[in-house]
Amino acid sequence: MAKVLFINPVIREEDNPKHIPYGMALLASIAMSRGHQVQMYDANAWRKGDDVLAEVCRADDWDVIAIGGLTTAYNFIKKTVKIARRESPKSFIMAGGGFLTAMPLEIMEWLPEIDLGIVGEAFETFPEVLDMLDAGERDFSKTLGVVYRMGEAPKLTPVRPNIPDLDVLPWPAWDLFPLDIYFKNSQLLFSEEAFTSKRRIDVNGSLGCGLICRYCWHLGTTGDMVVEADEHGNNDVRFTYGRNIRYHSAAYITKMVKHLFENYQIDFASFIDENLMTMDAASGRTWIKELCEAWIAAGLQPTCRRDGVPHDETCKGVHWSGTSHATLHTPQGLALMFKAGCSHLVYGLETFDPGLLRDLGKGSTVPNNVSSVKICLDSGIKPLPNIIIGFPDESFETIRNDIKALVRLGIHAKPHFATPYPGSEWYYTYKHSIIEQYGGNLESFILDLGDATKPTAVISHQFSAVELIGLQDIVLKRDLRLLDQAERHFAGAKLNPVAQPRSSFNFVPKKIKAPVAAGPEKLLPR
Amino acid sequence: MSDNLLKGNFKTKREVKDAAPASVATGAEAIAEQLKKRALASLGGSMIYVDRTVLDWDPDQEAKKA
Repeated sequence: MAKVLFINPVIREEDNPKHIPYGMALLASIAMSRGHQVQMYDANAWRKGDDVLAEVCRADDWDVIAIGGLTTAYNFIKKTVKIARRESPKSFIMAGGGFLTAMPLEIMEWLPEIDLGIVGEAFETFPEVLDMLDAGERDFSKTLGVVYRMGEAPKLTPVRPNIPDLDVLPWPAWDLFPLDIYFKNSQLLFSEEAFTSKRRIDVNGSLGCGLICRYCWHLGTTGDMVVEADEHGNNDVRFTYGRNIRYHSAAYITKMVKHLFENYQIDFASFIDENLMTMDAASGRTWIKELCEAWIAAGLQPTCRRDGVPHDETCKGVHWSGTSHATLHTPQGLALMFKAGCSHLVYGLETFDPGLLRDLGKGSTVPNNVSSVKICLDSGIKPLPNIIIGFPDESFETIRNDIKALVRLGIHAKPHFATPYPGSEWYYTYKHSIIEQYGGNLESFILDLGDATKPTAVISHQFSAVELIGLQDIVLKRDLRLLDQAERHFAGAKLNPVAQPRSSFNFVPKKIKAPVAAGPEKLLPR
Repeated sequence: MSDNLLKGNFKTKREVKDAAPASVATGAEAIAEQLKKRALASLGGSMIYVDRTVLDWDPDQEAKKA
């Protein structure tokens, strides 16, 4: 069986490691259940230097070195595959995850050390490729969902269908990660319960989201991706509004959390789902109800919620958090969630301007955004309303609408910048402008990407990064006087727009549903 | 906590030991690197960081060349 080294890349170097990589932990678990020999080097948790990374690559005769992550891990991944190739030249280097799926052909060109990339969902593809390597097979032309090399040229195979039932997945291989490091960083400043957490862990209840927010991306995990030939006859990825909505059963989730509670004494579970409420809506409003009821029945309900007393350090049980939606949440659902221990919910309100909201594809309105804060507060759950500036049609008036609403709602926010992450509709709409802004070098943009707290590529038609940085500070200070002054200053100025939209082969703004496997899947040990 | 930085379901030919705690810088280079990282993360107001150790910018020479 294959001897596999996983490397979890360093991400958000300026922050402490807080999140075990869920997808990689699942793939490690799947590989082990198939009998493969697996080792994990969690570079993000350990934060050691390149010498240690090289030592890790020399620690055994690895058949496979596997790496993957979000686009924001690209810097580290680029460095790692070079070290891996140098230190373990015979190993087969595999990559996957968002950084690769969003732009498989470019990544294979920029990183010649990668032998094969897994594009989209890897649950079936990864073990299949391991089996092929074990059998000495190197012809991947018939393997779904991979980008491989024919000579030097990368070739993309047809899309791998999504698995229909997430409950066939094993639990992530938490034991392969230095949990003490993650537990040390359990505390989050989002709610009292998260603030006092000593043993927090991430869990995932679903994949996908029914919404079509133009700055967001799903990268094949939600039926949003197809593979088609471009005008030169070469296969490439195309992202669409198609969706395969999938969620775990309440029984799967609560059994897993109960296991974490009993074996790792966790006190907090962060749901990393894209959006809990879109899943609840897709289920016909049964999912959240079943989940909360199962949570309480499993004995996970925190004692403070059971006894109706304020949370303090004597509380026992598992608090939790997730993401919500201003239009799709309901007071009834939130009440149940509070009772079961939910402490805070992230709301991507993004803006309080009606025109911008209409164009976002988020399905929310200003009245929905405003009332969502009250509805959530009334339930006892803390809302975390995220704000973004720098949208394509951002203007002084839209910023003014944001500030006025923030003042009335008592929200203090230093907004994110609208960022065209690869895979999002706006990435493809503005790709030519992005390349222009980075002097013709797209890879420079990818290397520059972070968590949208600083401007990278600008997609605003009216503002450049200079104005956006100032506007971010004005929103943070909620200072309408400075905003008015800036508007007067720019009135009548003839400016050259930094970004302009264009259509792209890689994004199809309509519903093209990607395939779902007929099932049943073979993820469990054969 | 085990001092092996690798975790898995078999014993590797060589262990990779955790020689020094990640948060503690050792050696002048590592200390300088850590100081730089933290200083740059704290920039603002009187918190300023100079990243050069040697400065070879001689405006007079450049003016003569020009």
